[in-house]
Amino acid sequence: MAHSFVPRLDGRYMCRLDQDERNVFAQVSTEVVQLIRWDLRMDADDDSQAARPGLASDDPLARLEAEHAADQQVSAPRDGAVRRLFPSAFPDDDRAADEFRRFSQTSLAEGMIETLNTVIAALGAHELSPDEELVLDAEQADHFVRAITTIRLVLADRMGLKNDGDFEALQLLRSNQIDVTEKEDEDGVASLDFLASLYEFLSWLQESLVRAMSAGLR
Amino acid sequence: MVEASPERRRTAPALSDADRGLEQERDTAAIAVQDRLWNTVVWNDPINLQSYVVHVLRTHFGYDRQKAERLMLQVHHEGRAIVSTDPRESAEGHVQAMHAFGLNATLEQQEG
Repeated sequence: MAHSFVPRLDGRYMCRLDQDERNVFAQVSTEVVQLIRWDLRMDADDDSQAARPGLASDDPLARLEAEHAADQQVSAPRDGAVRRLFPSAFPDDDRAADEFRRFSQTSLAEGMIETLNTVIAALGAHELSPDEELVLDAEQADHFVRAITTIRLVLADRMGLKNDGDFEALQLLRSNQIDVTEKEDEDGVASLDFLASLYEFLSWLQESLVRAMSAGLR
Repeated sequence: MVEASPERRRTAPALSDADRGLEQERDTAAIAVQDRLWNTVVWNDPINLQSYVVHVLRTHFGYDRQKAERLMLQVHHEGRAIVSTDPRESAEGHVQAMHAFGLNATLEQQEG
């Protein structure tokens, strides 16, 4: 049974998560990493790069330019959730927005992925803890709080949450329906009920962690 | 955080009229580029917790609780808030940081 985050006297943060909760948390983190990598084409084939004209040119300047262009290749997000993770910085200026995306998106994506991987590692490292305690230092806490936001944004997109109050409306509908306990339907797609439960759980966890962290801020 | 604008250089009284004209041109060009400030705007979204937004504003900008809460409430009630005004490069850095925290943020040129 989970216990939300509390600050410890040694400056670290502690919560209790059972094995199922850790597994689900780690699993959704992994899926979000995969979604980001896939949607932003971060693992593009070397083959597709080699097919680009100029890379095999005899002219060294043309080769250099082609290599530079290949490095500059940044794929704009396509999936709705990923578009929200990497929003446009200039909604009224496409050129400025493209330029901003080109110089910031890759490092932003790599940072998000590193943060999610830190969370996955922390959840796995405490596998054998008998009292189910998960203890985070300040740096890990920062990763957790950011990772939870990233995951919640993806879940919200999948649930179709668009405006203030949408989640509360969804909760109302759920409370009036038959409880669905399956994680996935026949097609293997995560049920809305599961997404909403996970979203709620992560919101609760994040709220407690933010509260614990702000106890340390003056 | 609003940074102080660079002071305009005063034309030295000993300068000739020709020199003065040149000074003025250089001053205007310097002001046009350097004084242009950019707002970091944070937009409301239905997902991020109010406490989290306050956390981000305190952690990244170093704002005290009152200022961070005031800005968060402005985002919440008005749909957006200017959380900082800076030269372009700094503003870009702030927007990137906001995105890294999962907030929806944009850049806009300061009015006037």
